[in-house]
This record gives sequence, structure tokens and C-alpha cells, in this order.
Amino acid sequence: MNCIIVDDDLFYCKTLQSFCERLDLNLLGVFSDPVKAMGILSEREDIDLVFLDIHMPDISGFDILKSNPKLNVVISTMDETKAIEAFDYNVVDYLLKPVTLDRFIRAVNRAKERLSGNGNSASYKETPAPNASDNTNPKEIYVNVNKRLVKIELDNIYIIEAKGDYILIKLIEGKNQVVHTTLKSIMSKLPENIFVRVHRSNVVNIKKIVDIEDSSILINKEVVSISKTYRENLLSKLNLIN
Amino acid sequence: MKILYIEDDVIDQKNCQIILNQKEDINLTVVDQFEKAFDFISKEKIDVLISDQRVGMDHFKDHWHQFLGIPYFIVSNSPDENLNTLLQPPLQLFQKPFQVEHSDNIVKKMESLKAEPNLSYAENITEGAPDLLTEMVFILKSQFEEGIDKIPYLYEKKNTEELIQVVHKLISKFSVLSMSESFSFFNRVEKCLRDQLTLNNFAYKRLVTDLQEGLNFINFYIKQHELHNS
Repeated sequence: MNCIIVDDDLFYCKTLQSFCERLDLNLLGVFSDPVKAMGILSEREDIDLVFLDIHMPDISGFDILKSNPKLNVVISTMDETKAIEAFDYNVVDYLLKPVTLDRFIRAVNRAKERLSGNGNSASYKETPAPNASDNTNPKEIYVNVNKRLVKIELDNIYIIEAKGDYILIKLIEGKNQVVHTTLKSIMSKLPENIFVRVHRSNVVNIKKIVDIEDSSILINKEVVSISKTYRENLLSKLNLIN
Repeated sequence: MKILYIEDDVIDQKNCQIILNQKEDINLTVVDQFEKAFDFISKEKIDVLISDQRVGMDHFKDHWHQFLGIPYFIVSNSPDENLNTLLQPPLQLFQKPFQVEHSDNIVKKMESLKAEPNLSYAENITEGAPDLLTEMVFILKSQFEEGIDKIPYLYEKKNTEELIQVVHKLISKFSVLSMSESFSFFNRVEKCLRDQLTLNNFAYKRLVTDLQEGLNFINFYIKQHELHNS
């Protein structure tokens, strides 16, 4: 299996390189500079697998994924908050640093399965990896709850609240969900004409609003405050008769 | 251990003082307002903060970054479990009244936070390849040295973007050294910087202190195992 490593951190380049050698993978190159990696990715078509970091200077791992939607990629990062976004690009696996050899082997096995056609690559090869920003009207969202990807219908959400490292997704029906991510991150996945920030800690589904007062909103029998900063934006999204 | 206690109830203050003063190595200061705690930590270094939930938590929710890197405990008549979801959660919630058992827990918890670094991760992944281990240990050493050099400079220059990159790169290195407290702390600092919140002096100094602690261990390891950079 031909592979390359793209990581600006020398320590992890060495780590992944030693893992590749142990598994007899054919390592074509190790790139601490993502720009150079983009170069080789555009030149060669025989790269089976890329071990890719997310946070790098100038170009992020996601930029590489966007430009190369057909690549088989194993993400290797210390950022646990980007997993859902990464799986939107149909990555093979998502490894958290520091990566262990056992976990690396499992990721390579998944890649082998996909390359041999036994993995979930069929639909992937036929259609490019979905890009959240292209998907303007999603009906649902998948969130990672205790290592399970749980589907939530967007129409069932009425408020999303920031809770430190987590968000609380309040649902009209069913149990509310606590997810390890940020408001900013989940908002990038939601239709911006429907989900609107009304406070530093709150996003509301405007379809569920009952009424709006000066500094508060009644939504699904719950009152939430609107801060001045976000009020104008909220009003601009509503179908107002002046 | 220097403890700052925020409590506006005089009886609770007295009770806590009596219990904590029984411990020989505890130096306790009590303030009755959160704002006074701000003033105090801007002038003096403390090891632990204990706060009454009612007096403290609204402030913690809005000003958590001001206390970044300071371990804290909450005491309350009805401890709020939701506090555990804060970006910097309390180490433990105690039901009032404050008791001897609570002070024992604080001491134990603080002991458990003391880092005992090791290089087991690097040893495991380089098993049978001593040259690679040496190479990786020296890479770690240079990254810690770079962090110690760069962080004060970038902090002073208010170069947040580059500071985030330096901090980000070092976070998982604390995990490599099994320094879990430093790992969590650096993680919070990165989030704080990305949210454009100003670091308090305590947090900034702790960045360097934790790095120095890691570097001291790496240097000790190099000497102990007689490693040489080729």
C-alpha cells in the first residue's frame, strides 16, 4: 500500500513513519509542509492512503480533503472536536495523538478493506465526499454521543445551548442530547436561515419561536434571552410585517 | 499549600478555617467577595481555590479564564452537577458543611495532580530501535525548549495566532510524557486563546512552569539513559 504522511510536527512524523515501517507500508514521502504535499497529491495517482494532520500552518488538513475528495485519508490529530466534520469527508479513520500502534493497525486495516472494496467506499467512489457548506438544506444532523453517531432531525431541535466544552441540544420530542463540540462548530453544519444565534450561549430554531419581546424569546414554552449584539441579525431572518 | 477560600457566610468561613488550619502545610486566606479573589490572585500565587457555589459560580461561568490553571473546589448546600460541564470544571463538589473529610480529599486530589512524567509511550513505540528512541527524545527536548523560549516572547508581543500554534503543538506532548494535568491545562489555554479571551498572568506563568517541568524530566531521562544526540 502506497502512503504518505502530512504533518508539521516532526515528533509525529517520526512516530507514524516507524509505524509504517513496522507494517511494511510503502511510504512514498513524509511532508511537514502541507503545500508540498498538495504538490505530490496533484502529480501522483498511485497514493493509496494519506495520514493527515488537521491543524497545520497555512493549509489545514480540511483544505487538503476539500481539494482531494477521492483520497483515502486517516486523520491523525490531537483535536477531538473535528471528528464529525472529518467523517463528512468520508475519511477512513480518525486517530487521536499520541497515536498507539494498535490503533494505527486498526486504521490501516480499515483502509485495506476500503481499498479492496469491502469497506464503505462504494458510495464514496461514486459521489464526492459531502461538503457541509455545499449542503444547504440538510434535514438532519449526526452527532457523536458516547462514541455513537446519533441522528437528530433538525425540525426536532428548538434550542442549542453552549455548556463549556459541550453543547446541549434541546429537542421537542425525545431526550435532549449533550455533545462534545462548540456552538460555532455545530452552526457550520446547520442551515443559517433557520438556526440563528441569539446569545453568546444560545442558538434557536426560528421556526419554533412563539413570540419575541425586547430581550427575550418564547420558544417551546421556554424563555431565552436575546443579547443586543444578535437581535438585529435575528430580526433580519424573520418574515416581518412592519 | 496556599488556599484561597471565597465565602460570604461568616459561620462557614470559621468552620472551614478551623478544619483547614489543622493541616500543617496549609496556608489559608479567606475573602468574602469574588472581586476580592480577583485582586488577590493578581498579586499572589495560590495553589487551590475553594469557593462557595452561590458566591462564585456566576462569576466562574463568565470569568473562568481569569482562573485558568488554578484548581478549584466548590462547596454548597446543593452542589450543581452541571458545573462539571464547564470548560474548567471544579475538581470536586462538596456538600456543606465543610468537613475534615473534604480537606483530606483536597490534599489527596492535589497530590494526585502532581505530575510523575515518564517516557513509556516513546519507549513502547520505538521498542527494539534505540536510535529512534534517542531521536524522538531529542525532538521532544527541542520542542519543549522552543516553547519555553517562544511563549514569553509571543505573549509579550500579543501574537495570539502564533501563540496558539505553539501551544497546540505542545498539548499532546504532555500526553506523551503522561503529564495529564498539564495536558488539560494547555488544552484549555488553546481554547481560551482561540476564543480571544485574555490569559491571566497566573496561566501564562504556568505555561512556562509546566514546560520547564517537562523539560527537566526529559533532561533527567537523557542523563539517566546516557543518550547522545547524533
